Amino acid sequence: MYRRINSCLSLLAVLSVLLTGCASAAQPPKTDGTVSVRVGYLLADLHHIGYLVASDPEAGGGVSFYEQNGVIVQDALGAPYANGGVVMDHFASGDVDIAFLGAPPAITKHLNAGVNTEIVAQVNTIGSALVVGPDIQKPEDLLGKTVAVPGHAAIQFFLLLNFAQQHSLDIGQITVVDMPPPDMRVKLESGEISGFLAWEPWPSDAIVAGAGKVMATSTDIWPNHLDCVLAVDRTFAEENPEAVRQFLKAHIAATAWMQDALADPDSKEYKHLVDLAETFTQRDAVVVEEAFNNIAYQSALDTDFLDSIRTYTSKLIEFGLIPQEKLSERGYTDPNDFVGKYVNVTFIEGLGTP
Amino acid sequence: MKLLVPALSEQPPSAARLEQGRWYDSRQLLLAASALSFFVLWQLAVLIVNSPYLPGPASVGRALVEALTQRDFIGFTMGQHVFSSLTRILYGYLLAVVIAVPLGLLAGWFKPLETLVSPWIEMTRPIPPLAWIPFAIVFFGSPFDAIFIVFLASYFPIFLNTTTGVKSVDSLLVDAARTLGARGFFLFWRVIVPASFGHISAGLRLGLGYAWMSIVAAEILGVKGGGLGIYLWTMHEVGRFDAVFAGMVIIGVLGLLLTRGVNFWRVAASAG
Repeated sequence: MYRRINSCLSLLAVLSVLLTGCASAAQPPKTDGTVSVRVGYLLADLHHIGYLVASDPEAGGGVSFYEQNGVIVQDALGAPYANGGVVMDHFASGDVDIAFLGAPPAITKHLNAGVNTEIVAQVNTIGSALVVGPDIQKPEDLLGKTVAVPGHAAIQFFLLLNFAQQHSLDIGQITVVDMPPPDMRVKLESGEISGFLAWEPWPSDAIVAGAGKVMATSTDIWPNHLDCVLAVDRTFAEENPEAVRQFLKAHIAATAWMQDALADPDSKEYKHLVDLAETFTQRDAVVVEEAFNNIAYQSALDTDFLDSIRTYTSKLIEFGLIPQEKLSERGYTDPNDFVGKYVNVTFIEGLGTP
Repeated sequence: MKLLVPALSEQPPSAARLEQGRWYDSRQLLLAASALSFFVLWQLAVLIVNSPYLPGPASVGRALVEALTQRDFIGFTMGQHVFSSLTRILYGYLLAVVIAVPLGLLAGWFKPLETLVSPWIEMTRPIPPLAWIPFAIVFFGSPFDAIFIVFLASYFPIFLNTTTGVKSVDSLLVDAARTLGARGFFLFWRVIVPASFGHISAGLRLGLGYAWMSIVAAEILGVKGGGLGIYLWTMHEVGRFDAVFAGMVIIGVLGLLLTRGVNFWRVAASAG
C-alpha cells in the first residue's frame, strides 16, 4: 500500500517538474529588465536570413546586432516552422513574440482566426519565381498541365492567378496543386508537374540542378510585390514596447548590412552572407547566390507596401479566402481601415527612417 | 453466431419495448442523451476556451452547410473532395486487404513463414506511415504516393490481427477436425479460416480506421483532384477553423458509415 502511494507521489512529482519546465518555457524569461524575445521563422526560407544575420557576431562587427541593441533572442518553441500558417498557430498558443513570416498568413489568420498580431516591419519584397519544365516553352503551354504552389492561401497562388490573367490563360484549364516547396523540384524532374511557383531558394535550386527554367520571376508578374513581414504579438508589444523597438533597430541594421553586402559581391561581407545562407538553407553557394538575385530585403513600411497589402487583402476577400463578415468581426470597417490598424507604423516611425 | 443474428432480428426493439409496456426505447434514449451531452460539453468548452481555434456547434453547422452547398475557394465541391478521398482510401485499403489477409493467414498457419516475415514486420511496423512520404513522392508519384501511405497505414493491423486469429484457433477444434479426417488445405480453408474470422474482421475495421487517419497526411503530399485532406489543410492555412471542424465532421460521419458497412458485411458473412 505504502509502496503504491509512494509510486503515485513520485509520479506526481515528476509530472509537476515537467509541467513547471513547460510553463517556464512558455514565458519569456527576463533578466535585469532585458526582455528575451521568442522568435518564429521558417525552415530554410532564404527570405528570413535576416534573423541569422542579426544574431551573428561577425556580421555585427564582433557583437551581434541584437546584442548591440540589448535584445536577447531565442528560437520560439518548435521554430523553425514549416510555413507561415504554423507560425500564426504558435502566435495563438503564446509561443511566439515576434516572427518572420509571409504577409498572406499574417493577414488571413488574423482576420479568419483572430490571432492577435500586427505587422511592424517588412522583411523582403519579391523573391519567388515560376519555374517550368523543358516541355513548356510559352505560357499557353501550361494549359492542361499541372502547376504546384506552396498553398492556395500563399501569395504564390495569387501570383499564378495574375500570371494567367496577364497571358489570357483560363486558370480553370491549369491544374493547381498544393505542395511543400522542397518536393517541387523532384516532382518537376519526374514530369508529374509542369511547373511550380515557390519562394527562394527552391526556384534557384531547380534551375541550378537543370530541372527547369524560369518562365517569370514574381516581380515580372507583380512588380515589387509584398512578401514576408515582421509580425508581433499585440499583447507582447503592449507590455514590452521597448523590446519591440530594440528588436526593430537590430532588424533594420541587419537588413542594411545585407543590402550593402549584396551590392558588392566582391566584399567579405557578401561571402559571409553566402556562408550564412548556405548553413541556413542547406543549399550550395551557387544556389543561394542565384536566389539572392531574386530577393529584395527591406524593412520600411513604405507606401508601396501599404498599397500592396490593401490590394491583396481586397483580393483575398474577393476570392473567398476571407469571408467579408470577418472584417467587421475583428473590428475593421473595410480593407483601408484594416491596413491602417493592422500595420502598426508607430514603432518603426519612432526610430526614424531606416 | 449463426443463431444469434436471427434471434436478435426476430424481435425488433420496438416490439420488446411494447411488450414491457414502455413507450420509449432506453437504448435510443441513451444515444440521444450521449449526443446531447456531447453538444453541451462542446459548447461549454467553446465558452471556456473562447478562441476562434475552437468554433462552436452553430458556426461549424453553418460552415458545414457552406461546404456542402458551395464550391470552396480552391474550386472544388465537397462531393469532389469526398469522392477523391474515398477513391484513394479504397485503393490503398483494398490493396492492404488483398495482401495482408492471405499473407497473415499463411504466416499464422506455417511457423517457418512467420519466422521469415516477422523480422520484416517488426522492423517496419513502428515506422510511422508519414516517414515514408519522401520515398513515396520519388518512387510512386501522384496519386500512388497517397495510396501507398494509406496502404501502409492499414496493412499492419490487418496482417497482425489475421496472424493472431489463426494462432488463436482453439486446438480442440483443430484436433476434432483432424479426428474427422480433415487435412491440409481442407483443414486450413474450412476450419482455420472461418475460426479466425473474428480477429480478421477486427483487423479489417482497425485497418479502415488507420486508412482514414492517414488520408489527411497522404493528401498533403500534393495530389490532384482535391480530397478531404487538402480541404482540411487549406482551410487550416487560411484560419477557417469552422470549416476545418466541418471537414472533420464529414470525415467522422463517412468513417462511421464505412465501419457500419464493414460490420454489416461481417454479420452477414457470419450469418451466411
